[in-house]
Order: sequence, then C-alpha cells, then structure tokens
Amino acid sequence: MSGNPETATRPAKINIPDSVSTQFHHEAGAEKFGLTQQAFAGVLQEVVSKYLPATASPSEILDFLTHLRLEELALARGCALGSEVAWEVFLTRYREKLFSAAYSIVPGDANARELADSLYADLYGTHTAQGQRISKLNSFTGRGSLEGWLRAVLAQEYVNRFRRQQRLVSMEEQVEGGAQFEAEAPDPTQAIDARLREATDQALMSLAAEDKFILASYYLDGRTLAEVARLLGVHESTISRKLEKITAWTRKAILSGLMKRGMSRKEAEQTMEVEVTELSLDVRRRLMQEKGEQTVP
Amino acid sequence: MARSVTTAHLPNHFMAGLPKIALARLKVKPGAPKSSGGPEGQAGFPGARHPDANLLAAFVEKTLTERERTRVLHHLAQCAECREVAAFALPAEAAAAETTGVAAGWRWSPWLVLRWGAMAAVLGALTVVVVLHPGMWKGPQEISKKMPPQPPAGNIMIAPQTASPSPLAPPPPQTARAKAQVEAGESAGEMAAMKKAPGQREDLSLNDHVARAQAKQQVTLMASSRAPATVRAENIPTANAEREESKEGNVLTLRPLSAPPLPPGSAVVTAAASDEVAKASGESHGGPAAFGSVGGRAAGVGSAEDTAAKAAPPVPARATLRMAGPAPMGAARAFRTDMESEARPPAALWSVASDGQVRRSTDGGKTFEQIPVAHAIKFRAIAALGNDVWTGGAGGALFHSVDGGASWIRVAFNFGGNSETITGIQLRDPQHLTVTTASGSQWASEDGGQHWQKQP
Repeated sequence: MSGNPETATRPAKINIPDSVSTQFHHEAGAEKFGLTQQAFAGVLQEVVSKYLPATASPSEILDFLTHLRLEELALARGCALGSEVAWEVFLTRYREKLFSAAYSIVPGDANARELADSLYADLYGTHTAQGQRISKLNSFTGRGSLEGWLRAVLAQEYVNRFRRQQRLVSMEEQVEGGAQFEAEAPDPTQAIDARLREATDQALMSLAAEDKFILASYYLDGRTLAEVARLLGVHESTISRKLEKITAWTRKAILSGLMKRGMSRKEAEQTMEVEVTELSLDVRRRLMQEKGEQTVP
Repeated sequence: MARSVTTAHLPNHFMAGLPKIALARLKVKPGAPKSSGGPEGQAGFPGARHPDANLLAAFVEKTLTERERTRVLHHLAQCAECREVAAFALPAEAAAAETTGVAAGWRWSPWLVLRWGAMAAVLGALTVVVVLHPGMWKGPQEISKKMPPQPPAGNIMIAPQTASPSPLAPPPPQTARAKAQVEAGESAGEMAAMKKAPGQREDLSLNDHVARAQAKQQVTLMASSRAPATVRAENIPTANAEREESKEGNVLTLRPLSAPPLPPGSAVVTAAASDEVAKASGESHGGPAAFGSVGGRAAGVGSAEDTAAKAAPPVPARATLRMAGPAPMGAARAFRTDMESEARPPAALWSVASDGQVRRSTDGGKTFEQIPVAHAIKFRAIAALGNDVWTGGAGGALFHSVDGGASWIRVAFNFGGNSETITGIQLRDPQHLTVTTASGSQWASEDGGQHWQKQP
C-alpha cells in the first residue's frame, strides 16, 4: 500500500555505482557484521529507492547516502541476518539504552522491562516467512540514529498498546453502563456560526506546518515551551516568541476572515470569543479518537 | 500515557490570545482521508499514512531534508499519536550530552562552574577562619590590607592545600592536579578539610591562610566561557598561537620567545595567513605537505611541510610568563597548556596532507603517521581537542573520533542538499564547533554535531 503518488511512478531500484557501494561498504564496516558487498549494496539501493524519486541525480543520491548512518545500518541489517558479531555489538551498545528508553516511556521497572523485552523479540525476529527470519531491524534505514529509531519503535509499540487497552476499557465501561456502542461525541464546534468556523479553518490552514505543530503541541498536548523547543531543536525563547506571533496572527486572520464574511469589527470580535463547550485537552480521550473516527464537518 | 494535561502551565497571555474556537478547530483534521489515497495520502509517506520510526527518529535528530521535515511537521500538526511518538523518540537530556562524543571523565571543565566553585571555596575557607579565630580578627581594615583584593569574577583558581605555603612562591606542580580536583567538583573537599580537625586548623595562623589565598591569586587565569578551546589544543599549538597573535595583537606565543621564525613557505596556515600561503604554494617542497585548518577560513592550499608543526616545540612555562602588555585570554590558556604539558607527554599533533590523508604525530611533530579515516575521501580540514578529533573534506564528508583517531564515525551534515567540500573546522569544545565549506558558508553545532545551523 502506498499513499505517495511519487512511489507509484518510482522504479523498484535506483542503481548505485559499484565504486560507491564499495566505498560505503568499507566505511560502514559491514563485512564484520556479515554483510557482503553485494548484500550491503542491496540494502543501500533499497533505502535510496524508498526515499528518493526516480529522477534523483547521482549527486543527490551520493549526498543522501553520505548522510545515512551507515555503520548502524550495517549493524542493524547484520543483526537481522542473525550475525552473532552484530548481535554482540548491538547488545553491548543498546541493551541498557533500550531499557532506559522503555523506562522513560512507561514508568515502573516491570512494565519497562516487559516493553523492552517485547521489542527484543521483534528485533530478533521470532517469526519466519519462507524460511527467513522476520526482524524489525530490517526496516531500519539509517536516516536517523539506531538509538533514536529504537526509541521511536518502543514509543509506537506503547501507543498501540495504550490504544488497544483503552478500547477494551472503554467498551467494558460502556457495556457496564448500559450504553453499548455509544456514538462518538459530536464535534463541539458544529453549533458555532459557520462563518466563524470557516474563518478559523482558513486561518489555521494558512499557517505553516511548523506553526501548526507548535500550536498543537503546546495547546493540545499540553507540552511546555521547553519540550516543544527540544522537539524542534531550537531555544525555548524562540518557541515563546513564535507562539506569541502565531497567536497574534491567528487572531488577526480570524478577525479579518469574519469581516470579509460580512461582520463588523465589533461583531467579529464578539463572535470570535464564543465559548466552545466540551473543549477537552484530555490526552487519554484524545488518544482514543484514532484517525478516521473523528467527526469531520 | 499516564500524563494528565492541564492548562495551568499555559501563560495567561498565550491563552488569552488564541480563541477557543481555534483550539477546537485545531483538533479537527480537515479532509481526514478514509483511505490512503486521500489528501493525507498525497502528503503521506513511503508506503504508509504515518511517518515510520525512521522518519520520526530522523525528525527529532534533524537529519531530514527540508521538504521531508515540512511533510512530517504537517502530519504531526494533525496527528496526536505521532506527536507522542516523536516526543518519546527524543533522547533523554543527559543522554544527549553523552552522544556528543564527550568521553567519560573530565577532560574539559566549564569555566563558569570552575570560577564560581573556586570563589565559593575561598569564601568558605575565609569564613571558617573568621568564625574559628575571632581573636585574630583584628578588624576589617587590617584584614583588607592583608587580603588581596578579590579578583574579578572568573580569575580565581584554587591552589592545592599545603602545610606551610610560601606566600609568594610560584604555584607548585600540584596546581595542575588540584585544578583537576576542582574540575571534578572536589573544591568542597578543601572546605571539608579545613573543617575537619580544629586542632589542625589552629596550627595555621591567619597569616598562613592569607598567604594561601595570595598563592591562589598567583594562579590567576583570565577565563572566558567564550574562549575558543583551540588554544588548549596542544595538538596544533602554533596555528592557534599565530591566530591568537593576529587576533589579540599581543606578544603571545606558544613557541619559545627565542624560537626562530618559520622559514618562508612553511608558515602554519592560519586565518590571516591563508592568503599568503596560497600565494606561496609554488614553493611546495613536494611530497606530503601539511596544512591544517583550525580557523574559520579555507586553508585548503598549503605548502608547509610537517616542519610547520615541528618548528614549534612545547613552550616552557616561564617563557609565556614573560609576556608584554596586558595578559590576554590566550596567555592564560597558554600558561595552563604549558602547565599541563609539564605533567604529560606531548599531546598528539594532527595535520592533513596535500593528498588528503589525515596524519598524526605523538612525538611533538618529529614524525607523523598516517591515520586511516575513510576510504577514498580527501580531507581538507582537521581540528582536535585532546582525543576529540574532527576532520572534514570532499563531498561534505565529516568524521569524528573521540578516541584520538582509533575509530571514526561519519557525522551527518546537511548542507541543504549540496555536498560542499569542508575546508575549515573550528572546535571550541566538544560540543561547540563550526564548519566552513568551500563556498565560505559556515555551519555551527552546539551539540557535538547532532544539529547544525547555518551562520549568517
């Protein structure tokens, strides 16, 4: 399944010159992890084909490859192949980090260990298909660090578990309460003046992706300025300034949108401050509203 | 997620500014697709509607292209779960410091911490003296006469505690070790020692304590948190000394004052001298030539032999004390460098040959050995701080070693799609470095190469 129109037109592989793949094979030290030059070249081709369009120039391909975490890529793929050397290195480097990451996601020794252990099983590949071990490490592409990837995978696993658990709890509660298959709560903005809704949507759509992310992280997720700053790799004061600017701009844009839709300034200001009931910032409830289940006007 | 969200942390002016309708609409995903072929699919990701762990990890580590980053941000703005995953994918803050390549143990101490720790220890020692020897407290006037004036902030370094220090003797060799102890946060140990046995303290007169304080003042170092640590780079002392001279305009050198000037054509390449060296490239001696760039400007052309480094043997401590003019920052650093060099064997010197090979000398520049870094890459710049070594070259290749060149890792370095040759590296400390490319662009990192920002 591919959601990206670009991938539909992309050839299966992008050819990488042998000299380049040889160089990277050497740089990555892939041999010691049980990856031959040919095998590693195949890995590189797979990664390049996944992220670059078919029209990528040789310099773009080279630049892309030089930015990969080649050694970690070789390590991960070596582990996926079952190389003992690779696993030894992997466990030495990442065993404690994996547990620390799990502990930071889900507090409690037992829960953290359980989460980390479940990931180990996926990394090692307890399932096989056509005689080949299916290891999650095969999906590591070296775009970021292996450690970062492990944290993201752990987090994804936890979010998925949390959602599954919440669904079960929610259904049980609903059944006990005599309200089976309760309908989703309606969009609280449905009752609002359509002009206000439209002006607001237009203003939000005009925001840059980063600005929307900042608003969502800060207001919807309840993250602190410092946390948002860390996510974007900037200073906290930068986020503070940006939030002020975005907030002021959004307000102004909504006002302007309302006035364009026939309201006077005073009317627009009053309309904009309408109370939206049931505005919930509850993270648990939000996580239960998975993609596609929200009511969209 | 066991996190409960409140709005208590939100500053009033933010909350007052953003209308609640905007918050409500922010939660709604306009045009959320039912299938992957919808609008989100068009802004989707290879093979999925959500960015996978690779992209999320690359996002938090800022290794995505601008286009990819925008795409991920667009998705994150609408997907609370992916925002949660991205937040969890962030390294713990302590771990982030570890991944910058700082070796375990102290190799570098923040001058700010040293400065305030030293001041606190001195003040604490004096307080103990005053409290426990009230009879000797003759009055603030007399004490102020005996006590040297408090040095400006940042200039105190604690000398080791000795039984009967000579008031005006130069700091003993223990100073380097005591300094290391202070760096390790053991300055409190001095206070503790003073508090230990009253009997012992009574053996030391007020004059002894004052003398100790004066001895500490003798080891005054001008320190600045902004001081480029390259001066401490015993690896390439001459380059830094030359650069400091041109910068500060003082008679500061890490070479002996009596050292002969370098012969023409063999000058160490520096920011100021790079043009001259470029012109003198015709005087190349052939064979491998050494040119190392520790400045911000390109130093890709060099005609100097390794004799450039050889011509600058370590400087005796006393030579640097005979400086003219006010003590610049570099002077103090030179002093510290020399003090350390007295206790240790010569640190490694690094250079890059004209054939692009990285070379290292561990005998003060007498001989150089080739250090393998990466196959088929020509290096053009190198900078080192102890065992922390950075080298860059053709195609934007940037490599980092934390073990003095025994092993290297390639550092992802986004030039916005261009693979420019790295021609200069300036290493201030293990976390702060600046890289210069062939076009003159400068990129700075404050976290040991994890993230980079283009400098204006």
